[in-house]
Amino acid sequence: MTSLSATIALLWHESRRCGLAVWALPVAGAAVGGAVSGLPSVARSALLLASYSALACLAALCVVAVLGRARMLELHLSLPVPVPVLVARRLAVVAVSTAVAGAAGSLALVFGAGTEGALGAAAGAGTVLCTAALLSGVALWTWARWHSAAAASGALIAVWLGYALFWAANIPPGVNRPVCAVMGALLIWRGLRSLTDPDRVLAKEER
Amino acid sequence: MKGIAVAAAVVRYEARMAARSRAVWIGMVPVSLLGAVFGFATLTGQESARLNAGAMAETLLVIVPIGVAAVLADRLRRSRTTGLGELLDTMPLNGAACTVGALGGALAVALAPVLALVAVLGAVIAVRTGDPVAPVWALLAFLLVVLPACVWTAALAALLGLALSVTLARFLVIPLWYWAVYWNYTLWWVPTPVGTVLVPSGEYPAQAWFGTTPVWAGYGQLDWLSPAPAGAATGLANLACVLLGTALMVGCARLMRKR
Amino acid sequence: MDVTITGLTKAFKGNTALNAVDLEFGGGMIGLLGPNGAGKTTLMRLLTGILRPSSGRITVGGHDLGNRAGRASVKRMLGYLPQHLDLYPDLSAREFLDYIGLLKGVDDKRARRAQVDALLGQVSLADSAKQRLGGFSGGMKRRVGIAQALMGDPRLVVVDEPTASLDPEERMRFRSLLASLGGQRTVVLSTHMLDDVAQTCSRAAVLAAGRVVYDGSTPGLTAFAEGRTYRIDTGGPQPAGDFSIANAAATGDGMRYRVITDTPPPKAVPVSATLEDGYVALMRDARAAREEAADGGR
Repeated sequence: MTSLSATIALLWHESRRCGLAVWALPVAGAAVGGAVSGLPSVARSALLLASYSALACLAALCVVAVLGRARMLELHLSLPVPVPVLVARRLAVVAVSTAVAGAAGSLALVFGAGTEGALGAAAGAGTVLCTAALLSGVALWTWARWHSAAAASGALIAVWLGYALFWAANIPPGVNRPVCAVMGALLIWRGLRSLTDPDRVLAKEER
Repeated sequence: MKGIAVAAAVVRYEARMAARSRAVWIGMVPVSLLGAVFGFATLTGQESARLNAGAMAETLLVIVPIGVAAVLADRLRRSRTTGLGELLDTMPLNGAACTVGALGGALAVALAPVLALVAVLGAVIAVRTGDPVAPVWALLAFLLVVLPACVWTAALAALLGLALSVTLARFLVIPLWYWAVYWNYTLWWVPTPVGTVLVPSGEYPAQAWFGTTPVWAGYGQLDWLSPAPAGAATGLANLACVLLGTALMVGCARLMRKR
Repeated sequence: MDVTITGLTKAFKGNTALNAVDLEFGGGMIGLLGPNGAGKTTLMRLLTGILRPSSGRITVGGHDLGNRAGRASVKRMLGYLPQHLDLYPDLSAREFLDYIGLLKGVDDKRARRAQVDALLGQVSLADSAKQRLGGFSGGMKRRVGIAQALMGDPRLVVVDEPTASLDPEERMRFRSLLASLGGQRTVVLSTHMLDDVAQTCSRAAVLAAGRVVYDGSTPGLTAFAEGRTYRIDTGGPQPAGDFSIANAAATGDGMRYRVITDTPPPKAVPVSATLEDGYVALMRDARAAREEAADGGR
């Protein structure tokens, strides 16, 4: 049984392994929220959805950055902590950072636009998380399947374009969010599962 | 002459490497399929084949250049990380030719699925309008509207990829593209080159050679940079500006590679 | 710690990397030799539970690596230094070892810190403990690598080609470090450097084309070349014949070749065999046996 202090120390290490991206994400969230709250109301509604979607894309690109920084996989395979658990811990750090980014954006919006924006902001934070789950799932699955951070970013940007320009524009949020969350969870699970295959992980290391 | 031969050789081998890179296909095939969804939606078949081809090309510009940028952001950085850059530096090669070749070869492969899509859309236009020359119009629209934009974003992404982390470059190129080409400054005023002759939005060439109605061209924030679209003259001026901008970015990239 | 390998075979997409390998060893250091592509790294990866065998069985300290529980048990008492280890450049040596300690389950902070300090001292990096790994030389990185392998006080240590790409001084330093590990542990050293094995391991196993072609004492390898080692001095072109060249050196007015053969050419002078000669003779015999088997199969 791992002690609490060891868990905290480990998560601190893992958050450092994630790089600067996870620290920049909440700042970006607050900046986006602040910028949107400063808009005239007619522009705000138009840009709000685009901002949430961009934030989700940024979070998924953070996932790619985190995955791209993964090193020493052969050594990790020889350690008691399985590689999927290691990757999942790092994704959890990004998830927390994304949630903080969403909250920071929402807070900035509430402070900037008053209570008028509060409800929309809360709903927006949920949208960011659900969309980020889908895009992160695409990124993780592609990375795990094809051993390439470049392929992962290419795939996630393609999916994001489809999501932003087609899916989110036509599907009501009540359907959009749960579908994205479920699809994302499924892809993340599939991606992590493929990391249980040591041959595949080693192939990634050797590329 | 030697520089051209070097560039051709680099193009050939970069294209070969890009063609064997899953990342290029994994990025570009979905983008092209998405382009197909949007492209088909614009083909009413009610106007001329020429107009349809121009509208189709302008629609593709919403997504294709971003896909190209995402896929090619690491092209110039790759040679740095693998040590190949140092090796190439020891050879009697023209650096500019190498940079142009590296980007050009990969771009040619990245655009292959888009070209296939344009061929399909050209055939659809031909069927809908009954004009057998429609595929030629579609090809011309690709060359005059889509290609310059893709060259521009490829150079921008590759330059950003050298200056910043590749992931950040991939992200930044998206807001930069939409800011440069589609930002509605009447809704929220921000300095933007939208509507000027500098940006590769394709509006000037599309108006000049395909007869489309521009939305922003001619309405930029600086009047002297935003001539009213007036046929081939402004179309050519826009293409020249886009190519010059691309050359500037490639030049900067070359300087950064040498550092 | 007893390690038993029985009928171990590993194939990758039709390519057999290891073929029915049997090996048994206990405490101390064992050197695993063999040419490139012989299957050494695959054997190391199987031994550490990273890869699963296509067939056969490995037990380490009584734990079967064929099942999940066995692999988990072995990983808790294992230290591994892979051939290529791309360390996190933005961590200091101390932070890196602390991280690996946590991953190995050394939860107690004081115990972890004490181990990190002791290991940094053991690998002579105490003065560089706070420096980032990105600024370390190749030899220093390799020493950090062995230090991480020793975190958690493992009973089985597996090191894969640790001295490749090190300069001679670093190599000697690393060798003496390795030699000091063998006492209470089982240390498996995979390498193609005969000197490393000669100076650190009392026992050696040699792999060729996925099979064990020798398993015995390190000096015993020399016996393969006894009575088959000759010296040829020539001022002209390289001599031709049915022999394997073990060494070639310029003499000022020509070249001196050391060859292994059963049919010495004229003017060949018999000389006493070395470990290097023994290894070359063994490889020659293994190659001949494979060719014979292939001819028999046709």
